[in-house]
Parts: sequence; structure tokens; C-alpha cells
Amino acid sequence: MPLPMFLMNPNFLIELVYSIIVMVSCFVIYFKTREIYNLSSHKGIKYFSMAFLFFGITYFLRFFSKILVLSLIITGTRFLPREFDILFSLLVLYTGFMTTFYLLYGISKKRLGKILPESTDILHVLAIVLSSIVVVLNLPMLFIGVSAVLLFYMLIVVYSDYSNSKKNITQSGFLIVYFLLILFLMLNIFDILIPDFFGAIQTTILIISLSLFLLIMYKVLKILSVESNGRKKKQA
Amino acid sequence: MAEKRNRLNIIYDILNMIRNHNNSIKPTPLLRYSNLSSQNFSSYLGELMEKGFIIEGSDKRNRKILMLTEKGFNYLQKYKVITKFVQDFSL
Repeated sequence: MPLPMFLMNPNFLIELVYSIIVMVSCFVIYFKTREIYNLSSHKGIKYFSMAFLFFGITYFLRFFSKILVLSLIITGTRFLPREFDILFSLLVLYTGFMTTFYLLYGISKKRLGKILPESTDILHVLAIVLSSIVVVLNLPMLFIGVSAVLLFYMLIVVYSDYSNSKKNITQSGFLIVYFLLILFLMLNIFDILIPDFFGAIQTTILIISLSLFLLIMYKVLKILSVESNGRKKKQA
Repeated sequence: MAEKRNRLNIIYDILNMIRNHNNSIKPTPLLRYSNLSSQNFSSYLGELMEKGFIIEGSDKRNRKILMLTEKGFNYLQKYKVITKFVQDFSL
């Protein structure tokens, strides 16, 4: 049986490779960090872990949406049912907001301590409300506004850490990576809401965000493998 | 001035104290070594027992002692990894 035409399309192949690498990285980070959370019950690790679970889901939905659009273009089908479009946008926005909230909650936990509530139910409610407003009222600008506020908060955390660590930028290194991850996640979601918005720079966005995920996965595996290497050496 | 201990440090100190006493220590000396108020100590001890890091037993004179479980030893082994992870990822 011949392969569907869109499977041979270069854009599809780029999306496929990019999405698989990002999703695998996210799920590896999630499962690896889950192990040390189960042992330590450290809330920061829990939120970090959950952020990467949601990153994985969001990038899966993004991939699905790209493939759907591409297959519609290639097969000449013009329209998707409006209900499907609404439901899909809601899902992407919800997972995108949750990713950002979890990541920000994770880094804020040790800084804001007891001010933050233990339960994250309020974050889910907030993500559902914001996503619904953006989709139902068709307000992509609200999504940009909320994203800008979250990124601004992230910048404040980076600056505050940089100031407190005697102007040592390496101490705040991963906060800058988180900032970029959130930025590229927002850009990717915006690209789903308004397809082909970024045009030629899309590839650059893919390459940078891919590098960031690989960097974090490498760092996670490096730190966690120290422990298993140590155990192997002891056994030898 | 010594830095204030966080939750991970306190748990490590409690578990390490039990390990250093041949995995068998009575609650009163453990409270003394832990440098915690009795209320805080009870809270940590309850949590560690509930999560299966520590179990209660009795010595030859039938006095209550605390011992580490395999999970407790596992925490001690992975403690450095956990603290490095938390520090490096600014969590």
C-alpha cells in the first residue's frame, strides 16, 4: 500500500524528528525526576517533573495539530469541524499554561515558601479559565498578554537570583534556560493559534528549543547517573 | 554563622544519626542529636515512619528503638544527588 503523500513531505519529516526528540526528552526527564521525588518528597522537584510531563503533552498536541493541518493542505480538504478546532485549541492552551505554571511554581517554591498554597488545584482552574476565555472569545492577544506577564515574572526571578548570587551568572544559568523554554513554548502555541505566523524563522525556533530540551535532559541524566555510577564502582 | 537547615538536610541528619548508631537508637537521644524542638522532631519522625524510612523495634531489654529501612538507607545514598539536583536546577 503506498504511503500517504504527506509522509514524504520535508516539513512533515522536520516536524516528526523535532517532536519525537522533544517528547522523548520530556518524558525521560519526567520519569527520571519522578524517582527522586518519590524518595525526597521535595515539592520543587515535583513541580519541575510535572512541568516536563506537560511539556511532553503540549508538544505531542502541537505535533498532532501540525500533521493534521499538513494532511489537510496536501489532501485538499479545506475545513475542520469548528467543535474540533475549539476543543483542540482549549487542550493546547490548557497544557501550555499548566507547563508554565508548574515550572514557575517549582522555582518559586523555595523563594516564596509558605505564601504559595500546597495544592495546585487553583492552577488547573486558572489554566482552564484563561484557555476558555482565549478560545471562546477568540482573543489570542490575551494569550500574548498572559505570556508576557509570566515571562516578566520569570525575568524578575532571574534578576533576583543573579543579584543574590554575587553577580555570578552561572548560578542563575538554568533560570535563563527556563525563561527561554517558556518563551519558545509560547511561540510554538502561538504558531498553532495562528498557523505559519513565524514563517522562515520557524526552523530557528525549532533548533533553539530542541537544543534547550537536550541540554536539560543531558544535565538531568548526568546528575542522576552520578549516583548509579557510584553504586556500580562500590559493587566492583 | 551556620546556614539554616532545610527539610532535606534535617531528614538526612536524622537518618544519618540512626545509621551512625549501628542502625539502632532510642528516640530520646535521637531527639537530642537532631537539634529540633520536640514538636518538630515528632512531626519529622511521624513523617519518616509513615513514608517507610524508619521502623520501630525493641532491644534486648524490650525498650523502644528506631531503625532504618532499606528506603531509609536508599535516601542516605541518594542524598547528595538530590541536593545537587535541587541546587543546579534552582528548585
